[in-house]
Amino acid sequence: MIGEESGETQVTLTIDDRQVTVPNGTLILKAAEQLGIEIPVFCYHDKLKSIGACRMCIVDVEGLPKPVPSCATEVKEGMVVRTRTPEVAKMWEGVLEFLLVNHPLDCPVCDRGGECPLQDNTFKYGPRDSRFTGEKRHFAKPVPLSALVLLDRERCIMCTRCVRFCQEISGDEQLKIWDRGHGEYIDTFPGQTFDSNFSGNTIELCPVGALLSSVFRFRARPWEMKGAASICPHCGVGCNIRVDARNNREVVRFLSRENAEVDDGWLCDRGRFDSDFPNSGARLTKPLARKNGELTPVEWDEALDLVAEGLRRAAEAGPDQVGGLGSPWRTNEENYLLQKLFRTALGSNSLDFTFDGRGGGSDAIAEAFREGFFDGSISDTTTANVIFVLGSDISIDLPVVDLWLKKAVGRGAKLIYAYPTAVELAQHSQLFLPYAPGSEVELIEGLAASISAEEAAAHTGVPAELIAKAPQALMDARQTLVFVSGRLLEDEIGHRLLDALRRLRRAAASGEGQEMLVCAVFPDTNTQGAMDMGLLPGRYPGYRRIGDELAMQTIERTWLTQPASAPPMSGEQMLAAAAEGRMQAMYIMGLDPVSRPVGGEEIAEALSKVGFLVVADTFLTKTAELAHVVLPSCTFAEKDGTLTNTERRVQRIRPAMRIAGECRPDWVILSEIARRLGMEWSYGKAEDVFEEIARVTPQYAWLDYESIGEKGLQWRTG
Amino acid sequence: MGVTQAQQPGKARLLSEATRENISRIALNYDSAQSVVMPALYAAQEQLGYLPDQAIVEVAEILQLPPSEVGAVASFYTMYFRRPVGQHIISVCETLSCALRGAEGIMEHVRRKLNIKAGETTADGKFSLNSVECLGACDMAPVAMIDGEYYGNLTEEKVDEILMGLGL
Amino acid sequence: MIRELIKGLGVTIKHVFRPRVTVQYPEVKREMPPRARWRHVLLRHEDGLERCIGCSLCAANCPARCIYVEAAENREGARYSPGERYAKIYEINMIRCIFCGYCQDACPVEAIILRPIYDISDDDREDFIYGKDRLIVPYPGG
Repeated sequence: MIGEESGETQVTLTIDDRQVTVPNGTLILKAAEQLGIEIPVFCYHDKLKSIGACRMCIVDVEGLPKPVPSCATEVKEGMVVRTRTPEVAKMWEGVLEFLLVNHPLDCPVCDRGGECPLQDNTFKYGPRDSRFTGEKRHFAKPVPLSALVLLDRERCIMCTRCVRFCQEISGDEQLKIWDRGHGEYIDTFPGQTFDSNFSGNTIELCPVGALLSSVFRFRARPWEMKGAASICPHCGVGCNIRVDARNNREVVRFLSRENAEVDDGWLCDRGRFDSDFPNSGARLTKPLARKNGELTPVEWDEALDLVAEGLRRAAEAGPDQVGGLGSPWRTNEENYLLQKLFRTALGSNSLDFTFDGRGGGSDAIAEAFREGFFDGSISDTTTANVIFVLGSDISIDLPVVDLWLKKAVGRGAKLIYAYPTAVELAQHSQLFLPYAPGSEVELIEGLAASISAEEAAAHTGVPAELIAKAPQALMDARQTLVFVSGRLLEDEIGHRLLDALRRLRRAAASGEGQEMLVCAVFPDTNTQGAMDMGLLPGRYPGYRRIGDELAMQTIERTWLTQPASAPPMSGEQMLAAAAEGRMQAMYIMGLDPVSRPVGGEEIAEALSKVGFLVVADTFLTKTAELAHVVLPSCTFAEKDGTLTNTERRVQRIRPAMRIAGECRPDWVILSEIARRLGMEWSYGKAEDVFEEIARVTPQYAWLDYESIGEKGLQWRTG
Repeated sequence: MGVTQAQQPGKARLLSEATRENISRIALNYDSAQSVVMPALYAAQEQLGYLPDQAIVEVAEILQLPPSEVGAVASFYTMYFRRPVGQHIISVCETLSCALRGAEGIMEHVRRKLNIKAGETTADGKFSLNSVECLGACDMAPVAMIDGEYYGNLTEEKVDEILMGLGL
Repeated sequence: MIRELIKGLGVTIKHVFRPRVTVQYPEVKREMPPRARWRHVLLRHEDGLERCIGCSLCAANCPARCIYVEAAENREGARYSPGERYAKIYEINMIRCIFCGYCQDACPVEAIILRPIYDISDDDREDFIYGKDRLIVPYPGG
């Protein structure tokens, strides 16, 4: 197949009088790239099949009667290619002149102007003038394909990258070429909107300004923006993004920053288009303190003094009367400092990042993480023979993993999808197992053939003949990859589920060279990191048990004070205590449980009984409205830090714009509070905190900001 | 989602059982659903006279293809009509050989006679006029296809005669 | 000594009768050469629509970094310029401006032009940031 590298035999050819040796099957275009010879392209894209539609990349090959498209021609031994002859230059000029026949010269108002391949190639290779004197074709400008994606048909050059994306990558077949010849245009089926989780990628793929983002439209010109290499804050995949800010003042867009291990160069629409929140005028910009019942703006010093005093007094009443809630949307550094503050200055182990009940599952999952049970990675989808998804709607929980799974299915991997309802990915699976919620353990027992298919069927409601298909597939697979919902693991059945998975692993990895990899699915950005940092009841950073002598000693060496060994309370227990009026003080960082659609009111009632409530957040949330002191924190776009994604990859975020108002990063806020409570913390930057994390968290021991670098690294046990 | 367009409740199906059976029978002759698209669209057009979007969706459902894919095919070819057409369909070739032999003049003449533009249908619903690409009969350029029949070496007089024969 | 005094006074008297080179500004304003380039104005089309399309090329070309533009989309019922885009905010900091005219050079729609308007004075630094209200020529017919 064109573009597929066999990698076995090597071919030597000459391009512009220079020799290059590449694997057989390489395209001329890619061979030239190795020599640093640029060949202009429009329709070709590394991630899409080449179709040779635009003819921009034509080159001369000695011995061939006509020029050939270098994006669709494979190299041959002894081939002599020329890209810089007057003939080729004239052809490139001709192709561009034709493309510009209909392309409007509205670069000054085009979002792409300044970073446009058509503009760049015209500057480099194009004609000085157009000989075309007729009328260019006209369409309505722009046509909304959806609320998010707009299409300017006049600018379209029919490269069909967007069409091929919908066909080959997202598989939703939404965009097509309609009509023919000079009347061609891109559109969805009449009356349908471009309804896809990944529509925004077509904007990035478009080599002209035809596909436009309604969020970014007219917001900034390319030269006004500076990009920061960061991580998407919207889900547990942790897609690598470039956060572009205009004049250092406002975030205007997220672009994909390809990480071949995490996102494969794609970004989902939720991630791409929800980029405006750091600019919101509704942000908290000044600390608030309750005075005469009203939240009133105060200076930082006053607010921090109040917080320190309030926490100190509450802690004196007893360590079981204070508790802290971290957040799956805060960095590792911040979650780490929160627990450190509680475990040193306040003597409390009551730490969590949710009020949800976990029914004891959290202990099982913590133990599994400590022993390194979870070892699967997103990129294992490229090698696994069988991929088994349990209890997660991947398309919603981890949208970009949806594309990885489709890609895996496309190359022939077997997808076994177990979910109570027929979600979209189930349609792409070879085996769909719609089980009754709560019967996950029996389902896995059935797959592992440790109970009979009939027995499993009776429990799960899945037809026995479907379940019976699975064991053989798992037995035959050299590599099995399991994505299992973190919610299920945290649930009451978590303990049994983990045991069942262990049995499944024994069954699926029984043969020579067989292995089964497991990856937990956490939909929220930094759930993994929050757990790693010890925001679990009963666990210090690195999942070490409270009271574990060795753990306490190593931590004490770094903290220079003994970590608290008081009995912990989970978020659920803290909430119950609060409802009974037994919580003297709580510190909630970056979490808004009161706004939950279900149960929010009860939480609000319980929190209103807390003696002293501090909320640090970016907005005045419903939870913050109940607080005695509200501290304005920075969004992810204004600070340094690390996030740990669902596959345990630690990745860095970097500041993209100046800090809004008087906001401060949470790690700075926590340091200030600690100083006021008599702690000697001296963190000059987020990196200093991370260095300490690496010292007390075994899994992070070999990580630092330098080694994490641009692409992130997964943590390891042992 | 665009992948499978479910039948909208309350919306009557356009394609008759006979046409559906016909399409299923045609499908037996081909290995892939994509190959069935064109004959299936013809079958639908035979029944309905043209291809409304709903018919395209129904064909796509039968073939289990995305409607967009079937629709794009229907929009590409000149002989699928996505709007209602007249009783008689006049397709004038305007590709090179015919163009060199005066197709432009013939087209202009027909346009004047019927008082419609290419792609339109007369108000009485009798004639539809199309401009098409090469009909593969360059030896008798300029050529037109009228109701499936080829008419070559056209002159304005000859066109008048043919149109008269069709009751203009 | 008297001779020198008379000689000096003679020079003075001679100058008294020469034509004056100063004018009584601001009551009297000196005529500027027609191509003198001072303060900017933003022009309109004949039909009254703004010429400026908010492309920011003037700001990109400005060596003094004194221009700030924020663009927005023309909407049904709120059309400011022909085409899709107009300048929602257009500001020039006249204290920073060096009146080089590069903005005029860069403008693809000939919207900004430097005119012989030189009375740019005020008593507050803030007031030297000229917004669209002061830069744009009045709507024809008021």
